[in-house]
Amino acid sequence: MSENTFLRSLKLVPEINRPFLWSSLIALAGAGLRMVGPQLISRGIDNGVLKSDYEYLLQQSFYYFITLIMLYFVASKALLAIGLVGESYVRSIREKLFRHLASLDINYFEKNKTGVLVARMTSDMQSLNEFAREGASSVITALLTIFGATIAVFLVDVQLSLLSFLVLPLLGIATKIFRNHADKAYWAVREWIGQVLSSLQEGISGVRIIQAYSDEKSQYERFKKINDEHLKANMQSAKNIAIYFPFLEITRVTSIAVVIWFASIRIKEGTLTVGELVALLFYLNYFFDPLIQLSFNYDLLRSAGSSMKKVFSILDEEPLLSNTGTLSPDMDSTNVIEFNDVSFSYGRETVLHDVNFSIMKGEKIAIVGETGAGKSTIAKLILRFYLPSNGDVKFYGESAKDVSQRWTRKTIAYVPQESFLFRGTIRDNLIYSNPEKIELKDELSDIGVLDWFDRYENGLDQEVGERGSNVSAGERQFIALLRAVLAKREIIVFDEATANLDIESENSILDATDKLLDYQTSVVIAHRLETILNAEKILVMKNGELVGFDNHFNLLRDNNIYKDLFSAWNLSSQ
Amino acid sequence: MFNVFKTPEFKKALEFYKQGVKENKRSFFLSMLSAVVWCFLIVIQPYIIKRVIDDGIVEQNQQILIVLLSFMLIIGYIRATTIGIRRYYSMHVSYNVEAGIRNRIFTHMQKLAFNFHDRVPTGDLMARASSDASQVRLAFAIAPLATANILLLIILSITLLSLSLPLGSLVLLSIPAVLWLASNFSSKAMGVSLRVKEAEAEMTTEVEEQLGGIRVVKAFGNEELASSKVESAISNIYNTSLEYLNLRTRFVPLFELIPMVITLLVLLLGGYLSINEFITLGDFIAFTQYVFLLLWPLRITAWFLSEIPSSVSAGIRILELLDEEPTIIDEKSNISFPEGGDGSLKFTDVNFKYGKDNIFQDLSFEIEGKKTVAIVGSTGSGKSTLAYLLPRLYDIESGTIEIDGVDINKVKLQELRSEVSLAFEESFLFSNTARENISLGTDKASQDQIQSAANIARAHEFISQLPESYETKVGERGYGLSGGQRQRIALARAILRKPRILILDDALSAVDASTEEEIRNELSNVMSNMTTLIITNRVPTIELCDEVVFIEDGKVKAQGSHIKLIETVQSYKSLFLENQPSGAQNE
Repeated sequence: MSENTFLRSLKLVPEINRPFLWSSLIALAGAGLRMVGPQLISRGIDNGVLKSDYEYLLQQSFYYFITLIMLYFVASKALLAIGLVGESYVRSIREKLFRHLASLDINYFEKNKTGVLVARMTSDMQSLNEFAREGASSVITALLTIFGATIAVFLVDVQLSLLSFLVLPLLGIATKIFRNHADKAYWAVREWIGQVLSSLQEGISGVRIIQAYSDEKSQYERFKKINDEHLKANMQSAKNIAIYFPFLEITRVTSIAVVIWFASIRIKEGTLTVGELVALLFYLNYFFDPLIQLSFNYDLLRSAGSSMKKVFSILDEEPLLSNTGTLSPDMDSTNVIEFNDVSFSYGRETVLHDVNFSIMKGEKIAIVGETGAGKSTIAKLILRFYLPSNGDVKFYGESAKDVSQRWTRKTIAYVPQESFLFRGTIRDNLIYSNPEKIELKDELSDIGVLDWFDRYENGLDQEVGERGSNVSAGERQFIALLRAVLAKREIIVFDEATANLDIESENSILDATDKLLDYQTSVVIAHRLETILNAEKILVMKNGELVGFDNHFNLLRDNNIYKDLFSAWNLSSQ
Repeated sequence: MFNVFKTPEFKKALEFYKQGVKENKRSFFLSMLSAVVWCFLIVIQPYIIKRVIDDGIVEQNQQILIVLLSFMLIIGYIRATTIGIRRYYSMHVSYNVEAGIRNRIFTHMQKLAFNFHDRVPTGDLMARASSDASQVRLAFAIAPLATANILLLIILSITLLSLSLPLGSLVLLSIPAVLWLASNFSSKAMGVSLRVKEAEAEMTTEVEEQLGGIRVVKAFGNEELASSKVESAISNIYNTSLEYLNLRTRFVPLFELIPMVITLLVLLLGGYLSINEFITLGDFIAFTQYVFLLLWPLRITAWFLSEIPSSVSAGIRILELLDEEPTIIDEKSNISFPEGGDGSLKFTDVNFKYGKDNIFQDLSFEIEGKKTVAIVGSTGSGKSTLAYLLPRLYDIESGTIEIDGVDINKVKLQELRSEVSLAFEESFLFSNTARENISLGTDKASQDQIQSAANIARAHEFISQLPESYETKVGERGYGLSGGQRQRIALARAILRKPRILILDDALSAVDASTEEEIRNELSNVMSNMTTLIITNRVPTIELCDEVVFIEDGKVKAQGSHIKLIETVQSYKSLFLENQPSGAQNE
């Protein structure tokens, strides 16, 4: 983890700093206790064994024993404290990450695949967690042990200590080189795991099509290609590690040899005892062993660092729409929606050109036009999923820029063309917009659709599977429509797809909509003649331009494009 | 004592590991070999130090000292090399195993029938293929190191025994103690670890669903609800993880402590022996060095053992998935559809249940080849299910379905599914190019064929206007294209294969009226070459068909021309009662 990532990671969860400090202190105490042992052994050998003083040896051993008992409690406390910090940290990052994701604009989700985002919430968190669980405690303990050992070595003999650390700059250079390569490799690993998960997700959610078209083989090949890339990235990181880690062992051996050589001279001179040499060797092990332990955790650390960077790349994404605008328009105005010279582009090309119209309170509007004429884009702008590239969309006279996201969501309901249901009961799905407030049974019987649910064994409590997998598409639409109707928003935007419904269900829902929408303003992307004929005014779109906005009769009389469209419908309806 | 290693789950997981080793024999061998070499080289180290102290320093012989030190350096550098080799190859094995597991899960999931996927959420499968696979990998990554350390323990013990019998046996005591501890820990940790994984899978499922439905979440401004659902899954992970953590913190320090206690005992006993001159001072110091060497292998072995429950429980979850048998498979018969058959269809006494709900009861009907037939019925009457039965996406309970006189269960799935082409009501596009989406499931489609299919589906025009025409990526689930455009690509996909039987499951519901009219005209040319089932309740589409199969209460209520059914069947008529176009009167 680079210093920046590390500091930022700490700052992200400020409440963790105190426990983190606290757990580090406990770990420090543990490291200190570990240092006492060799000192006692050394004294035991020098003053006990060498001087044949068994009682002194016993005494030192007793101290050692006490140290060990203390060590157990301190070590387990440290492990717990550090583990707790890690778990809380991961939990908090996960929560923050999801909240942030949920706040991002629709635009973001059209650019980023669900699978990749899931990877950020799972696989990247796992790499953080691995570090937090295994790494963090070991790294802190190891670092502190190294620190303690360094001090201890110097306490025994300054000259020898300096000599023994002579090789360290070599290690430093190797580490620096490794770090640069490792970061690149781990970044690639994180990148590819996202692709792997997204490919996996697509392979699972598209499994019905894949099977129906016997496309299993080429789907597998596609997945395998991505999976192989991930493997390759992993192996690249393995190669880095395999080249770097032997350096640790080389420095260790070299440094021990240097110490022994000079120690032998000092012992000859009589300025060093054998016991001191043994202690020195012990401490050097205390210095290098944690370094090796660090080597196990170093890749966990760098990998976690890459994951954190991925997390930051999401957190740095600004939700433009939810952050701009704080206004809740005064809803007395009768001019509900107004488009002023609105142009819009998703990036590639302009899909709406200078569109002007306004919708009055209570009006029922249909949008018609050929596929790709810009109907959905208008709907998305009304929903404030996007802001116009040029011109202005106004809600009750207030510019979409100034209106708050919250207000929009509480005022405008949306029925997308593909009806998405959540796992849970039908009831859960119906009361989705306002779980506490909706008196479901009463409202359904008011609308007159309560009987409709008798078709299910468990009625409203029927469980639906993922994406509503165990109810038919027509039923799914019915539920999705009803969900929007029950939300009772001022404005309702339908992307019509009632084609799947039989006439009975459709009539129920139309009646329901009529009843509830009487005072509502509705905008329907229409595909069917009746919907159009029921509308009060019709927006006619062609190639991103508004070519007509009037009622059916006037349009039929004056508007050639509408006339053509209408004759096509009429033809297809006869 | 080591009951946890004898459970059937563990044994099954072990099989799994064996297979991983088998698939990566060379790398596994190399990593093990380098680990073993490393282990011998590390054992020499204290011996050299003993000689250094005894012969070099105490005897003050500089020449021997130089020889010994250079020897120590050379051995040390070789040892360093073996560390590199071991790390590389053990990772090679472990990453390959992980990738292999993912490939296997992916292939396996493609084989599992619809009823499995209806039941198991996407996120759950993803969790198994991602985090569980990584967890299994971890075991392979540590295995060579752990094995080397176990070997090291044995060699060290033998060396210690040869140095001093009483001291050696004292040290040996620590090995069963650590093992006992580890097994004790494992048996307690298995259950908890499994629960942690389940909690993780639950969260993955929740995140996948909420992000998949983000448009609905946002449309209702329900980000708060989505977040709180995910958060409750997150705290579930947190709570189970803490449970696991608590267990670990009670055991893991003991792994470190036991060797230290042993050092203490060695010091006491060794000191006693040395003072009373049973052993030399050099022996004693070498002994302490050896004991010190024991600390790390013991710790690493303990660490490895403490990772086992996690890895095994992940392995169990993966095996659980891989053990799920595909229910729809080829029968052992090699019957093919007759060449040049015209795609006649016969359902005889077909029964089908969806969970507990009876969908079809003794459904029987026949359709002549090359006819265009509308399947009509009220919402939820099972029209789509009927479409799924033909390519065997679900298997029927009893009865037979025949195409050209051949039972579909007797034909190879691959052949059946290439002869029956289904355009779903929800058009799923892959985040791939438009071309690849249309040519799904066919390897040999030429550009001409693709283009002519796209022409019929009225998709060619808008595809050629995309920035890279047919090579344009159409994005996850086709977002970026309008619903109608997506449906047209899906329709082109169904047409391209020139099947015997084409099923259109309300496949034009999002297409605008004028385009629909054009598509219908184009289709009628194609449809004369194949049997076409159109699932719809739209009168204009029905009128295009030769006849209607009307489904009610799980049976075929009536079959015949639209006009005839309207006249004779009351419930059929009532389906359309209010569906008369009123536009004509307005003119």
